Amino acid sequence: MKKLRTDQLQSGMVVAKDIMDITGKLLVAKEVTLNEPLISRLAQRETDIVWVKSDEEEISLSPKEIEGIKEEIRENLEKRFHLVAQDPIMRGLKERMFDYLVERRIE
Amino acid sequence: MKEEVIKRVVDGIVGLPTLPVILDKTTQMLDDPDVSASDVGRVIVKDQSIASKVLRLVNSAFYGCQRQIGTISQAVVLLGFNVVKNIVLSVSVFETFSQDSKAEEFDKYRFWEHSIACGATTRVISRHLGVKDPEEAFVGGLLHDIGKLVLEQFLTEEFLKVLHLVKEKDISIYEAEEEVLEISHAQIGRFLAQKWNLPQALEETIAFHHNPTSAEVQLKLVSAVHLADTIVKGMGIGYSGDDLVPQINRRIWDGLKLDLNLVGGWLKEIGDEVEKASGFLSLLKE
Repeated sequence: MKKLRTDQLQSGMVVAKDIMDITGKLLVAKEVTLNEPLISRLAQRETDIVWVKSDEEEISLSPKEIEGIKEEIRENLEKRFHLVAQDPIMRGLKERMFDYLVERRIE
Repeated sequence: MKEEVIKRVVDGIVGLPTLPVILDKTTQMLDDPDVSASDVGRVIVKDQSIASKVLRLVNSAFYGCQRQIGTISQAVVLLGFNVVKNIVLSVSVFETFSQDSKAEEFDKYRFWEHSIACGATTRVISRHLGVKDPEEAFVGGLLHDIGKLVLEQFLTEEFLKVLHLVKEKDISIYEAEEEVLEISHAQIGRFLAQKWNLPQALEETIAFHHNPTSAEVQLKLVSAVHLADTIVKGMGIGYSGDDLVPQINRRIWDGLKLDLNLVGGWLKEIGDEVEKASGFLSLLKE
């Protein structure tokens, strides 16, 4: 199972969790296979995140893929923190963010 | 230059749309002990556009109600008057600044993404710091950069120079504003907060989020916004004119007895709260 933004959805994907609007009304039930009209409707509603079934849950990320993710996160953090990199608190915060962001992405 | 800029901005602010009347009425009701939830509901539904958005937000994951709320009066009973008033304020500000960006380089949707994430993050930090009103804290985080919207709308040419300078010199937007305008979005935002008669707590978060030790009344709340701004920029959520993480004020860090393990331990909660706040972003899609 993985979560996607509505602009990442594709026809043929299977919904893994019921999709509700923000008032709690059911828009699409789990197990439904998405098609283009359905995706368009979701994009127009107040739905930002959709959980879809994915083979990735059975196939875990390879060490190389994990390294790629870490590298990308590290690079972005270095860019954002570069003006405050000399400060020990900011350096420490950057490290905590790195751990958190990696965990969130790999999860 | 500074005086001239302030005058132009203040003159510009005079032409700025005022906040919807119902916000004033709702705020006045807070001081009246005889006002009931139904009275508040009746005032808010007079503005159908705001009322429907308020209802959508109170039913979003961010407020975590177990059952669906069908009317504004119910929302007041279940969430409390202050929460509803703060939602009305948030929605009113969205509506007031809903027009497209005049400065193309300034992505307004991503600006609100940053602001909403700051609101959600301030809410989490405030709970940990024992700030008495986490809902007001959310609005404080949400509106902290409101001065940038005034600059973008009323001093577009100068604001574009600011954005270019950020890239050219690799400096923060705050520094670039000082260089181009001799005034910052924090000062401009403060003018707006005063004109809108916002509570002092919000005025201080807007005015002092870059130098929180200047806050006179709401030091903890302003510090929470200051930290939230740093964390949200660090996590790369949204855009607020630059992509540079600001330095955390050392006196605030020491004064609040913060340490890296403590703040690092908040990150997951912050990430979850930011995700729950996405209902606010959906209002911008309309």
